[in-house]
Amino acid sequence: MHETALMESVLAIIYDSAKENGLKKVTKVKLKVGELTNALPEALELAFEASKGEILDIDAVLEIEFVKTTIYCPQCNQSFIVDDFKFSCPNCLAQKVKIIAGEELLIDYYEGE
Amino acid sequence: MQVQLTTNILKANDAIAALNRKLFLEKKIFVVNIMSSPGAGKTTILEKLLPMLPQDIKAAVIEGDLTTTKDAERIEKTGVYAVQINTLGGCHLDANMINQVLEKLPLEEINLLIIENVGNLVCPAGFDLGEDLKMVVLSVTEGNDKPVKYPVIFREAKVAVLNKIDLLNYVDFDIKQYEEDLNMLNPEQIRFNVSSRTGEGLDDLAKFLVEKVRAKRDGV
Repeated sequence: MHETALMESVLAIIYDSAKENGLKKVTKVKLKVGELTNALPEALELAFEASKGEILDIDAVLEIEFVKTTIYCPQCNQSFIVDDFKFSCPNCLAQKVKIIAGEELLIDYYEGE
Repeated sequence: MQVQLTTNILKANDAIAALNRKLFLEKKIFVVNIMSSPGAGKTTILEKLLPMLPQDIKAAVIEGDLTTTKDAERIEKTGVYAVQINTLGGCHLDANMINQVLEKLPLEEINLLIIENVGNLVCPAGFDLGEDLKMVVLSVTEGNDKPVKYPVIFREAKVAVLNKIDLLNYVDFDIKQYEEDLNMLNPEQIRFNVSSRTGEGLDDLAKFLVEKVRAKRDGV
């Protein structure tokens, strides 16, 4: 349940930013969560619902964009979305590939007024 | 009004981890973050390994557990200084928890710091502590399917230790499949197969660590 710790961090970052921007109310939070972060969107939702009232507007909504793992194979000069954490090129089977998506754990944006 | 942030959620943790890493570099301390499920044998490996280290390797251990000081007490019996962090329900250690206990450690005297994370194959993987090396421990009694079930931690760990190999004849652990799965996840990973009960394989693990500690100490 490290999602609780992650959400605490999300709320703290947004609280500070909203204050800086003179916003009284935060209405929406958008996150990007990669498959390789071990953070479950459902658990993040639960943590958000449980703790948003402490700092954000109680009606604030959370949107999570789940990012699948994408690898880039330099030999084939091609990128692939991979399933089941298979970190090798589906084309040439090379294991020296670069992960180009799936490790994101980002606050994309928030909305407020 | 929409405010674009594109901010890393873990930026606070990562900033403290960077501070820890800088301090460890200044003090020339090699830091290992050991992770496994509960009962894989992290503490027992340390109990056996620490007394095998040569005189010039001065170690200290940070123990992470939800409650109790049992593990720190076990480590101290080997003559190595240990400090216990109780996370009180927290499922992982974070960089700040490490930062908070650094003042309790004899940083001027040590060149190896081993951090034994909370037993958990999921949550600890995401939190940088400022370590040089992540080591994952799996025991044969847990089954060879764990790397594919918990791919993130097995991909992140530069070193994988398979423990309790003295029990291989009594369990259905397919060591070939285990290695194939790890090769798929992490082809450059360094692996050791050990038994902390019989001591088998521990000398290789000790030798590897000693080389790493000396390299950082000597600025190689």
